[in-house]
Amino acid sequence: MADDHELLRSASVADRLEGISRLGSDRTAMREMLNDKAPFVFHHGGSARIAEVRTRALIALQDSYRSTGDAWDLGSVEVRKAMPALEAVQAAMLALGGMPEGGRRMCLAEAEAWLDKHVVPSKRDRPMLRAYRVLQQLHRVPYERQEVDPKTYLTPVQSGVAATQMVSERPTPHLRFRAGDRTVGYLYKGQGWVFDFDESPEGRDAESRAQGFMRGKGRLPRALWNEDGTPRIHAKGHVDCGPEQLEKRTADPADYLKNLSAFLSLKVDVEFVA
Amino acid sequence: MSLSGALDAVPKKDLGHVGHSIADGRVIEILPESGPRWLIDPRPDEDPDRYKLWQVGAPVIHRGDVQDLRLEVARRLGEVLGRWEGRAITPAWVQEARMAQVRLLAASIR
Repeated sequence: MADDHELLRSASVADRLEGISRLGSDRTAMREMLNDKAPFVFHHGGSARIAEVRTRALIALQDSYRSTGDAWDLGSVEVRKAMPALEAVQAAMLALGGMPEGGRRMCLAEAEAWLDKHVVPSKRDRPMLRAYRVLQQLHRVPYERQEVDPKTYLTPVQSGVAATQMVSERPTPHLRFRAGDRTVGYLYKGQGWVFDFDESPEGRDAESRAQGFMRGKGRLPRALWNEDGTPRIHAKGHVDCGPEQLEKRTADPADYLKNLSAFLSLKVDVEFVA
Repeated sequence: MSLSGALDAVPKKDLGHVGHSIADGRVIEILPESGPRWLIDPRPDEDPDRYKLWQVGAPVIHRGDVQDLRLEVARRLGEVLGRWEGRAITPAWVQEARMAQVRLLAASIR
């Protein structure tokens, strides 16, 4: 465990994110990470976005409290939506463009030094993160303090992000995953298989289950179906299957998705849409 | 022979690839439908801040500020990406082009 805690103290954001994923249930460690404003780049909805390490620590804490049902006792938390990388870059260009040459150079040098000390970014991500850090230095990254909902363990910003991530149409055929009356994700085949889930706990759970079935060749037995279109469930609780095997690379996508839905339906609310 | 002429020969779906090559400092080969091919070295060893553009077989090498190259390709990418704005589900080349545009603009900050 000492090694895992060392990850949280690493200068590298990649290490710290790995540490959070390993130590998510350590509430003391996660609370300390709530102050970590170091940015990182991730991809969602077809474009690059920039988030801060502490958002991952907050999610880990929320997951931990949700899993035990403990009342949230950490008070309000500072939050913000992930910023599109293009927005960060354009805002930084605008802000720096209005500064005298000396001030601009000093601001950029300060950002570079800070990234070396607190992020250690890849060569590819560095220019984008430098832009974001410039905005942080100039206090142009807005934050809000919000309360955590006692039932969902989410802040209003997080609920809003989850609600807007799943509103547009997705290509068919696809699997649509729901939590209550809310869509939390889609699975479909584009140029490759696309796991298109929101960042809510239910979305992450559904994504993890779908990925579990599709590891490697994603080989699944052919499920058997009742006349009413529901999968045939064995008395022992598993899906009744025939001898045929389907693989994600070679099977017809619609056939594969419908078959996969039989297995997923035991654990999550999933619908096959042709 | 001009930068504009060379970039005009790049199909819009390949512009993202060209953008990433510039951001990475890799030599780009442009194959027009007719005529000799173009080469752009965005980061020549002898002068990393001045790109080199030449047509294979031609004796003259043109040079320019790499900043101009980044911003011109980013501008063209912006034009190509306009109709895809706000759309989460896009072809792979659009995602590649979006990322290239961000990288070029970010690299131009100095």
